[in-house]
Amino acid sequence: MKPLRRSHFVLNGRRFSNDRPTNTVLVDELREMGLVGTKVSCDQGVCGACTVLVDGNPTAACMTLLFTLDDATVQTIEHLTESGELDPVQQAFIDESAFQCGFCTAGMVMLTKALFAADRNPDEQTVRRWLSSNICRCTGYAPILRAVERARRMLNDIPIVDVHGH
Amino acid sequence: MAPTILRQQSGDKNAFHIRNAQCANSSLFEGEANIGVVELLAQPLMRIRRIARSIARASTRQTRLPTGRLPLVHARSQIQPFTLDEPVSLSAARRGLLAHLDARAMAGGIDLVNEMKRGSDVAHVVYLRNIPQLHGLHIAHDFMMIRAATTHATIERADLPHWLQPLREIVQEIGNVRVREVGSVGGNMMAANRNYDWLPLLMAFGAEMAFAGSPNRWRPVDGLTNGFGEWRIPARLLHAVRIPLTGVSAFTFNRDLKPVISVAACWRRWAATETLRVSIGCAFRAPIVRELDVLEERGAIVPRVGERGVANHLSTLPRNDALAAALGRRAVNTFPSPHDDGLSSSDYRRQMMRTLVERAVLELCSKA
Repeated sequence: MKPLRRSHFVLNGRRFSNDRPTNTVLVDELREMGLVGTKVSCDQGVCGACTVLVDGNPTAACMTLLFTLDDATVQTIEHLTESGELDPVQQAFIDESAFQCGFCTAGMVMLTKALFAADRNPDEQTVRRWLSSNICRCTGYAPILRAVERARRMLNDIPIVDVHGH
Repeated sequence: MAPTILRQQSGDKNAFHIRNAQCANSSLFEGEANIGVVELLAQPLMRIRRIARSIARASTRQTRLPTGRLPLVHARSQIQPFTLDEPVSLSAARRGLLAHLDARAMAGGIDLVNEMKRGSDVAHVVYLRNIPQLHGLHIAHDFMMIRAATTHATIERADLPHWLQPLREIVQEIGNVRVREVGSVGGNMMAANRNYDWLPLLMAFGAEMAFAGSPNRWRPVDGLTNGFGEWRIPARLLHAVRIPLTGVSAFTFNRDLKPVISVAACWRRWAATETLRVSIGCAFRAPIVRELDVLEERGAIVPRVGERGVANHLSTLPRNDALAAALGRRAVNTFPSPHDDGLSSSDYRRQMMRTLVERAVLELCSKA
């Protein structure tokens, strides 16, 4: 019989309180609940595809055991906005076509959200340092950096310089 | 015990009795049994044949570990359930670890979870995050104390004095932003991973550590190795590390060539001494540190002036390049031979050791 432990935290604005085996990993619980926007890729906490926000901080859901989340606030890609409309970061990613297969995109968006929460107007070095935490095999990162720059300008009311004709 | 073969006097002169008093529980050897000569001689051959078949079958399928997990597989499904202890004090944590022989301490859990995913059998976990005595850092005028479960991110965001700002830049390069949010200084040290950053850096600082149960007994962090690249991790709970700040002129940590080699260096001037502690990571099974006497090296390349010799600040010397070269050469001659592996040859690591130590010295000259 698996040892159980009651975990209680706030998930996407709703209270989560359930008994789960101690070896339950957050990403498995999320996907079991239908929150499949959080992807599993490397399963080692390296690639960032499973990035969610725990108390506003970027966290690898594939490396997080459920019992470590007591009284935390967990946010996934599905709940970036209350209204269901796209978050400005999501819109920026769409505007810059900053994805191809899309597997890393949720993690990239969540990481970017965390970056802007920590620093609303980061310089390029800070942006690159943060985004180096996530891996993308498709885009070559340039469109992702443009998307982050676009979102930065939107958040700080800086005119967007569109150099790509769209 | 080999069965005893008796010749029985019977009409069949080829029949033998086999009696094995040690096999009382074996239905095959109850009392005595008549076995023909051919069968008797064939038995060892049949046994060899059975063993050979067993080996052949094993080589064509993955052998599961006794607990049912697969070796060489890294997956969340391999994490076995475990009993959990969540102490709120150091003493309770120590009791928890002592109560279970196979208990493992967990702070951020990055290394432990990865170990579990690789199939390690962890039956009991003592979770340390709720112990206030294990969190936080304190900076005094002559030392900086970091408690073992303090995260890298806490140090990254700490209000450090301006001359300790390079430490923030060093910490910002540890792992990635997710690792820094949950990974701890103590976990990084006690993971016994030659590629990790905190131990080489702390060794260069000449830092000390204290374990739970002996909070006032500080011993050099060098004690986590044997001084020649082998780990000596004690089965104890790390409480805190303390970095002496007196006399620190400058420090640096070059990780450009990780995981081939990393070099941390700390220049310290105190009273009449001037020393450079250099620690090498990645190139051995465990980091190694050596202390180099800068005054001695400087004396070898700069003529002494006056009876007591030159006591100039290093940065005023016109021959920094020569000093860097001398210290680089001394470092290579002082450290043992780096290891050879699939990433790099020992010779290449040795060459890079010299180069990176020289660069570190030049960088410290400019900062000091």
